[in-house]
Amino acid sequence: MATAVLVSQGVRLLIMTREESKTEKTDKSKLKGDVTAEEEAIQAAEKDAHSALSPTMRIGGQAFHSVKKIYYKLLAGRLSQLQEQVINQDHELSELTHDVGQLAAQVRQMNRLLEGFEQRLTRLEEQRQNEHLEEGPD
Amino acid sequence: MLEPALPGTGSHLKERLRLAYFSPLPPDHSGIVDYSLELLPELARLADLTIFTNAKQGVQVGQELGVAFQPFAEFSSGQTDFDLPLYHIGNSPHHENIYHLALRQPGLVVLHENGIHQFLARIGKLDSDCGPYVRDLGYVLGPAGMDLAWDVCFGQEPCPCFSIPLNNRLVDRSLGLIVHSQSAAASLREQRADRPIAFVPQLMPVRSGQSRRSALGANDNTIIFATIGQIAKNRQLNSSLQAFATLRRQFPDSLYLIVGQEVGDLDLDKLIADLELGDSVYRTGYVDGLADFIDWIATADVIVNLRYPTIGETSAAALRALAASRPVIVYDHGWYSELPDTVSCKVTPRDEEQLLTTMFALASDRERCRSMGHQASRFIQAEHDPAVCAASYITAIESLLAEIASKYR
Repeated sequence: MATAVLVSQGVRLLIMTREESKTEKTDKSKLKGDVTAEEEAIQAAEKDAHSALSPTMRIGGQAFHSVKKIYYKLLAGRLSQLQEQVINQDHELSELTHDVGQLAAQVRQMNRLLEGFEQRLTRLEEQRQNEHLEEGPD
Repeated sequence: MLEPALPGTGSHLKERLRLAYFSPLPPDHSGIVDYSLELLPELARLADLTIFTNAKQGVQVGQELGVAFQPFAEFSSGQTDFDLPLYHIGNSPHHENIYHLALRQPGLVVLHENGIHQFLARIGKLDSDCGPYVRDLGYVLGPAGMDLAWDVCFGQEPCPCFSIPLNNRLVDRSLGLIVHSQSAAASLREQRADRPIAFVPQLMPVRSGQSRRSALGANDNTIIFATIGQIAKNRQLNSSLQAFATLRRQFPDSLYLIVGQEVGDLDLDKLIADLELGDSVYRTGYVDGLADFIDWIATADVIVNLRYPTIGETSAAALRALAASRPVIVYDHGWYSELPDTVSCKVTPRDEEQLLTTMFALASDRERCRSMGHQASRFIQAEHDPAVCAASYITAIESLLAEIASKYR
């Protein structure tokens, strides 16, 4: 964000300087009535404007390059943060899957226990019925 | 009346375990396919098994063994019918579906090789989709692993298949693990001390074969060395054939057998030609059928079973050789170091001089070879008997279930 602001400010400064120098150039040429003199004035004004820029902004290509470097650095930092997050989540997922697996095994054992109890209960009921039949009706 | 009891509770009334069994089966070819075919009948005596497979021949295997079978996809909906899923994982691509299911629905994993990096690199299809591989290496090594994975995918770095086992995700998710060597168990305990890890010896029935010596034009005095199994670059045939070429000066009629399918970028033709061994090396290629394979083992006097590097495997080829009463020469690392000295000769990895000395010593002392061979089959009978190994499986499963049960009480 700071980089974008910096760039847009630099560009604006460059445009403003060019506009000012154009106005100055027109005035001078009007006075001299000479095209060559006018061109010279433009060049001189542009030179002044150029030297007024910060060293980073002096050459457009250089500025872009340094901005690009900053951007890539920020991007790489963010990507590595995301990578670490994904890896941590991957480990958490493994632990949770393991725990769910253990619970599932436990549930299966409980089911077997219940089956056993049901069978036992059925046998007890049958036994009681048989005993009841053997005793005969009151 | 007796109380209902859970498997693994140590009660006097133990119910049979109900296990969902996942392994590659015929028509796939792999060491683990053979292993399962030998384990299943023994395990079926001790537990109620259901094989989950899509292979028609797998179904046939189930029928022959009297074991129930179901289509692979049925497990997810019917998993409550089983005490535990049992997943066999190795490095062949036939394990792909099993691996993904083991991650989704954790169970007991039989890790046949400690390192599964080759497997993940194979199924990852690195030339078209790097994503899963990048994620896997990132899981183990962090962001640096992701960078390394991209470099591997773009061919900037070789695949670190032997230095990084890449089993972390599977180990983290599994409820427990079974391995076939003490060294693999120790390394996994170091990696993840809180996961139950059981050592169950790899089963191997004792089988003797018929020597095919006469078919090779060799007499009883001819010393025959052999390398058996899948013949890849890591079998170090460069070293063993070079040593053999030197040994031949002393034993000119000696022979070297190469028994098994040759895979990878292994230029054996050139190696044999360079060493001028054309008339003393015999290559069988892929041997279809276990009986034939064992006959070839029985043809040799000594089996040279060098593997470098090791990925924590237990060598079925070495065990088959011992079961057929043949001594083995192995590198002194990994599981191979666990073999008794009475049945094997151990050589420092990649020490060619020591290898030559060992081969020479055995070639010079045939009586020693025979004696080691006898002890080898006795060792296999005592330590790798299929019934004993299957019983160890049950013990490991029951203790795992007991541990899970105790956690939530």
